[in-house]
Amino acid sequence: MPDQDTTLKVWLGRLSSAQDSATRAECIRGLEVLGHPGALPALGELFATDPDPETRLLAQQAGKSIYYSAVRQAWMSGVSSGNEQQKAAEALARVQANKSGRQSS
Amino acid sequence: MARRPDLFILSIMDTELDIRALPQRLRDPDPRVRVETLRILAMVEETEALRAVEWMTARDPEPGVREVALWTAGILRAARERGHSTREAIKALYERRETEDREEAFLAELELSLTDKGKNRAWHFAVEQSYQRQMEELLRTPREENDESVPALPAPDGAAPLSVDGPDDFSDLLDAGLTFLRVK
Repeated sequence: MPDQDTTLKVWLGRLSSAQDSATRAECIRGLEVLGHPGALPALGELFATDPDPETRLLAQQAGKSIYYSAVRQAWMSGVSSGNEQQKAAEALARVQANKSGRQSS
Repeated sequence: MARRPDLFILSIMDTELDIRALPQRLRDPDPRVRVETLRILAMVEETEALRAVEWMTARDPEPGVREVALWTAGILRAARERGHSTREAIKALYERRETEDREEAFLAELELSLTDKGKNRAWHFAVEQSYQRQMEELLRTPREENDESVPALPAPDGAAPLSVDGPDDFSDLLDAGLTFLRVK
């Protein structure tokens, strides 16, 4: 199974040789599913220069999806395990309270 | 429309784009990298980059880059004016899903599981009841029919026939102190 970088290069290669907007749209979807931040420059270029407004919009949607996911991962990597444990404990306490509230009613 | 072969060349060569390095990429000595970064920021409407992009519109040494910076700044300003914020968009997209929805889904699943357990208990109770009724019926009816339909086993030679008319239980024998075992 090819790794993500190889798959990314394959999609980018297809995109650069795409002859029509339907093929470009297919490549954009492929890149969005892959979710690799390395696709952002190509999507940014499509967003800035493609003559087809639908392709530009599609590129923007895919780009945002990949970017948001990458930013979130960056945030998550900065969260301490102590914080996560605290959050998990709070969630469990809420579930417990809801459960006991339901039983008493 | 075939794209020029030099397009995407940077991204194909460098698949290790770190989004945390985007601000630094705006100061990259290669103007192509700066343009590429400006386009990404415009595409994702990263409003937090607006000040840096505005700075580039006036001070970037390359006129081509300044032009792209102007275009990017216009997009980011428009996004900010309509209230868009990347931070809020991400929070709305992921945090709500993770907390409320997941918690709700978890509670719903828990509730469903408890209901299922209750249903299972009721089902088991109904099966047991039905089984007991059938057993009672079988134990009651055969006494009358069994004697006719099922012949008694033939007694071995010389032995007394097996009788069904014995004592109801053996407590009488116990009361008698098991006399038949007493050695005279």
